[in-house]
Amino acid sequence: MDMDFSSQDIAFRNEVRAFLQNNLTDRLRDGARRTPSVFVEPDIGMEWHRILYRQGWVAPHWPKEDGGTGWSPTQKFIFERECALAGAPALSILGLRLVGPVICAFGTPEQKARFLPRILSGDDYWCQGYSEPGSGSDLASLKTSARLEGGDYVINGSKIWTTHAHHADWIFALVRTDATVKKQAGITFLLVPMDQPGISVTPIPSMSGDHEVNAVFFTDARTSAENRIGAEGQGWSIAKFLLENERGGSCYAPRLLQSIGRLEQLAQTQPSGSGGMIGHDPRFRDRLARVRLEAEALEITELRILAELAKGRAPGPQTSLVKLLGSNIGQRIDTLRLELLGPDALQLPLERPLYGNEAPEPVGSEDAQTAMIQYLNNRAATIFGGSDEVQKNIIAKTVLGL
Amino acid sequence: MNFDLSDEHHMFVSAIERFAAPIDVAARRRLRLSPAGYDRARWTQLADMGLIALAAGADAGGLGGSAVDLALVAQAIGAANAPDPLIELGILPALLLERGGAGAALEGVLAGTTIATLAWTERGQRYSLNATGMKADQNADGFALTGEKTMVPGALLADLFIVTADVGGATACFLVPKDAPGLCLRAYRLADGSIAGELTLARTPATARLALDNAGLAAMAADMRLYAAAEMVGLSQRLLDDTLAYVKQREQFGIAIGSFQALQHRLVDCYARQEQSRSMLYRAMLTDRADAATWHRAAAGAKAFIGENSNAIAREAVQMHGGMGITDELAIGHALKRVLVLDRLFGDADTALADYALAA
Ligand SMILES: Cc1cc2nc3c(=O)[nH]c(=O)nc-3n(C[C@H](O)[C@H](O)[C@H](O)COP(=O)(O)OP(=O)(O)OC[C@H]3O[C@@H](n4cnc5c(N)ncnc54)[C@H](O)[C@@H]3O)c2cc1C
Repeated sequence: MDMDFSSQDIAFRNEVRAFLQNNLTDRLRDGARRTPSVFVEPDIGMEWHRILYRQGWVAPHWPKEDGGTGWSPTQKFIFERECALAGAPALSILGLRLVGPVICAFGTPEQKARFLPRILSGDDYWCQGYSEPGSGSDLASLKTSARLEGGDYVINGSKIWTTHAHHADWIFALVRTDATVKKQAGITFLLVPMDQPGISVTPIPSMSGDHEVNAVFFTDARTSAENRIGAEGQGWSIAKFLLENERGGSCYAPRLLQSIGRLEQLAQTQPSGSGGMIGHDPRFRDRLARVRLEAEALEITELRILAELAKGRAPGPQTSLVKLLGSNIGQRIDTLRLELLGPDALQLPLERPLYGNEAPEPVGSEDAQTAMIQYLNNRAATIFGGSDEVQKNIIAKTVLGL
Repeated sequence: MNFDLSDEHHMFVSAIERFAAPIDVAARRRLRLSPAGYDRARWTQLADMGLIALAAGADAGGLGGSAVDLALVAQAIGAANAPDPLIELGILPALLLERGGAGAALEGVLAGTTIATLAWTERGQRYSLNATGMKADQNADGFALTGEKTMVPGALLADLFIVTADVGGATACFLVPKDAPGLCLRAYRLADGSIAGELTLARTPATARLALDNAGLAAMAADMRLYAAAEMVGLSQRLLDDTLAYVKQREQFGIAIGSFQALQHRLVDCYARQEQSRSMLYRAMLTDRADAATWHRAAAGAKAFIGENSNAIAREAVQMHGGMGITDELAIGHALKRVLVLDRLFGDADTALADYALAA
């Protein structure tokens, strides 16, 4: 047993560092740091996406033949960690991490040729049409229907909480094609163009003031039968494959540790009000130290999972554990940030974006300007992609055998 | 021993319920998004109901409400998720102006025609009441103030600022009208949608100095901690009630989500927190004020205890609402944000808890 990187790994790390040094502009760093939304804004995220695309590094998680990097799990981890340390923007997961791998795994050669290059290049922006008003945790009960008419599927129903539907060119949707069989067996996975009269998008404002999620209504919306992934009725197993990618596969620890480092820095300069700095208040210092321990342990948990993956095992229910821990540690960091920044952290500006020339002047500091927004938005981390409760049910059943 | 509300208390509470009822979440959002974050006409209505006057004694032109009366009013405002800054822009200035002997200014505040606000927070001082970044210099005409304040509540509504400032190492309170020379205000929005401000004064003449010393300020902070705690108890009751109603009605897997034990036990924890909060509120509001140290300690402890419980209930309420919980379209989000602000009014949980512990 050892935790060392090989000499090739170290050479790779140096290559990534050099690349970041040369390509990660101040604008992108600033945009990443000052975007407190749940999901990266397309403006910043897609700019970075295109830079990585030109380098051939945009899809480490795809098979090499479909445009992936062919990196080992260790290299993927190194890449993510270096990006986090350098303060690079997150990439939108919708195309790269969600629908992309599905098309790689289940798509026909024609579908791969049509969709994958445009996901890689960033020409198509995607959104995820899973949840419905009546079907959240119980996703398999979804009702949006599709029936084949000529060469097209005709779709009716509604989706909700659809992140960035207002930016998207395409939606990947779970629809019911057969209402007579067991609920999981009647679901089909369709790719649907957003720009058509049968689709309308209504914003749902978040309590932070951000607009990220939407309701999407389908009224005789159409998509060609050629845009069905897999067979009719195969949607549920595809959906589960995708959700496991959404929950795990990515590493939380690098960004969590980066945020904790920032709080440790700030604690040294934030007056406590009774002489000295907050960082010297033993109560705060200990809470922050406790969260750091949690994130350090998670980093190793993630590496252990990566080591398993390196042996060729598929990501399974252990991705639920990573999602559960990562999102909760993140929320604890958000709470500590609010505490740390004191009265200034009560500001909640509604202007967006908070980077660039149009951004309003922060009250106190830039960290304080985004602290409340982050706290509010990140309440969603334990809800989307399967809530904490759902992850615990999965772990209890499939891992613990209860 | 009797913990029942009197007829008069029931009257206050139902008056507030009637007043707040037409403000649904959409109306609340509109009001909060308006430029000043609130509506002066609504403030006048509150004043006409006598709710601000409750905070001052009959001799000073008020209705002579007790701490229990005021705490129940604050709690009712919380339970109604009402957008009214009664405690920070009504009760707080009324207490200060009466105790500081500023009768003329008090009259307008009680009538709702003058809106006054206290500027006490300084960036370098965090939650401490000691003013160091605002200095008052005595000259032939009185005092002139120079320095900076932040998080001044109701910044765009206020006609009159009550500013804490350093005078030879002690902290005193001065009155500064909004159009005073050298006064500069930068408004910004707080989590609860209200508008606060950064206040800069440059050799700004004060129109009066209140007859209040550090001990008077500490007494005011103890009062405000009690009323902030009371509003939080109301807010977390609302959060819990709405969540209980939701989990009984929302179905997943063909059954109400409230039937899942994973949620039931946590809701029981929330209920226990809420009952404990209410008891702690009663304890603080019924504490004899003859001994200032005992009473301040009770208020500090109640604020720390209730703040922690209300925040925990608010987070559970969001979680159990799923996607609905993160929107701005339910009372849940608005109540959570107001709790975050109140929890930090006159000291966050750590500060209030330390005050409680150190006073032992
Ligand atoms: C910011 C954000 C972005 C999102 N983006 C997308 C998107 O792009 N596309 C998409 O399709 N969806 C998206 N979602 C939706 C998300 O996946 C759902 O919100 C989630 O699955 C929960 O469903 P729900 O909101 O209907 O809550 P519900 O399922 O109604 O759950 C309410 C509460 O009950 C609990 N609960 C439910 N079942 C059980 C059980 N069996 N045992 C114990 N507790 C239970 C839940 O954990 C939760 O606390 C997003 C959500 C958010 C908040």
